[in-house]
Amino acid sequence: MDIVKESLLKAAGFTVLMLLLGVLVGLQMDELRQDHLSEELRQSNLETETFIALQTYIEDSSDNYCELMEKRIPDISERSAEFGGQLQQLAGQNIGDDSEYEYIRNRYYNNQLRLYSTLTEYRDRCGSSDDLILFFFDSSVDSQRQGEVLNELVETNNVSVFAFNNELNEDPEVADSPVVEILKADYNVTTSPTLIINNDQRIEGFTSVAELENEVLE
Amino acid sequence: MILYIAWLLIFSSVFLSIFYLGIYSGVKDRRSEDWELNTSPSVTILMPAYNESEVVEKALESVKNLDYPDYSVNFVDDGSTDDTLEKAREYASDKINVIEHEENQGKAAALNTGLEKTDSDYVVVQDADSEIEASLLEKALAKMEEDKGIGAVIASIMPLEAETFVRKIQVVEYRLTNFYRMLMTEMDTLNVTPGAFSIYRASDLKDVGGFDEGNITEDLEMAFKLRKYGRKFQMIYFDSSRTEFPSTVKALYNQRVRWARGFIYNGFKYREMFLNREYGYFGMIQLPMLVLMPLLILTSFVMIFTGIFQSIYSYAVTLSAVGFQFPELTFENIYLGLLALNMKVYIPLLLSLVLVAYIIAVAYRYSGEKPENIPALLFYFFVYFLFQSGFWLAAVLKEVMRSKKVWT
Repeated sequence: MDIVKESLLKAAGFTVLMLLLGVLVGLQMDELRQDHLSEELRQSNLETETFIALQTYIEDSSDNYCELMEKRIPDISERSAEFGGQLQQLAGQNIGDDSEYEYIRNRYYNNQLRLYSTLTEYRDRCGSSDDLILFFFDSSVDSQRQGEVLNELVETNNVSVFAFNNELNEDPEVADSPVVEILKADYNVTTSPTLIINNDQRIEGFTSVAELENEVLE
Repeated sequence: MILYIAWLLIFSSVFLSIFYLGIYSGVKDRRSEDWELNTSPSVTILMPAYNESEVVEKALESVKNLDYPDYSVNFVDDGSTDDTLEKAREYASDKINVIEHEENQGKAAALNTGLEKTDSDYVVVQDADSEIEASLLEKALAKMEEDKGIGAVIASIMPLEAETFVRKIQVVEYRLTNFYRMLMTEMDTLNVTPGAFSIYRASDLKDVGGFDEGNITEDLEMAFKLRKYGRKFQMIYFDSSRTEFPSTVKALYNQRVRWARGFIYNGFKYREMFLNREYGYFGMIQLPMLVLMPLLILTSFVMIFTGIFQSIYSYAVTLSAVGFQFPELTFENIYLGLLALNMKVYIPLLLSLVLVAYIIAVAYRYSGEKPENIPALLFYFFVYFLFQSGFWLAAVLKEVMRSKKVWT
């Protein structure tokens, strides 16, 4: 065989090897990402479950209930928001099967809904001034900007944000989330970004930090 | 979709690098190669010149110093408006004929004038801004005499002077170009006969109708024409022709856009040779690669600028939403950043960069030289391809818009 044919074969073989190596490393990275998200979700779920278990246990004692909630809410909300950001950041890099991410995402949404219900109850029972925001987003620039605004708001105010992908049930390639479907129908969400503040106030379109702080949140 | 394009680009680059390294593994060191010229064929050096006042004397001096005795020079002044003609006339002798075009007709026309006035066995094309090493002509003749199937012999190209940064970058570029041309010689796929130094059989040039007047890259066209005529080319790697490199970005841009447009024009003109088994590896490998390379460069350019634009855009979105914020450099953030990296692109990309760096190192090692200028080398490695993309982009746009072709 002449040197050209031999080199072509070597190059083809090496390139295929590189392709396989790239895929293997990609799959390994997927696993690392999924492990990381699963671990974070496990912790987040555990905290929510602990929180709800304690809530059930001390339900009769109103004073203890409010005190307990007040202490734990910032941590639990922050972890949940952080996890949402990480899920959004890492899921897009997936190389293999999406089903694991879909499972993690749906469990996260279940957890979000549970937490939202619990915090709403806390707000009603204890007369808390902490604000709860449901954030429905899509891939638009305004949604991205709104996401940044809410991240900023969570860090500087007593605010808990629960983010849901508004596009989820519209993409035939992605499995539906029953939680998102019900919430969208319940709050009649038709556009993104949409914010539902404290279960009664509704804002459509981008809203800045200043507007939210000065005009919407009390 | 973007991911697949990125993969295609990266894997094409890996494939080509490994392919050339494979060819290199079979290359013999020709540094001390024996050569012998037992005949004494006649040679005419065709030296076209247009406004080369500053360099013409050096070019004629280098010709006078050639080791080979049986040569003549047809110096054709192509209507210069400076004192090129006057300076050349000072060298006129029984060996150096100075021919004058009253009006500028273009390089190919000047070469044809010189060709018409010779009955030598061989013809050398040497630009008036180039100097050749004393032993080069004799070595090239030895190769041509040894194998009658060889239609042209070329040499390595290096700069006359490399005092500006733009020229220093081109020194790195030519180290690599010369190395690749040497590898192409091994494969018999050499596709160019540069104006800085190329020797042809005079009969071949006359048989194929001389140089294509009006063609902005008449040397490339001649190479394609001779390939079609059935000739092969050889390169003498360890002897060089020193030529004047563009010294400014604008001059480099003009030269490279002209070359790229010349390739597009001549590639289309000789399209029947592409993927044609009749022309061996030249048709089956070299020509498709020549098309693939600018496509790769252009696609990389588009992808890199898309990536940069997306990053700026994303940053602008954050900035417009919440203003400037310092990123928090915690261990967790760094770990998350690494996890979020698109490894399926970055790992092959890193590998392809390592391979390119290795090829540059091999090219220097083979030349026996050390990198002349490290900043220029780094610039060439990391940035220069963006310039190359820009040149190709401009050439494609100019061809599409059919703007006037100029020999500069």
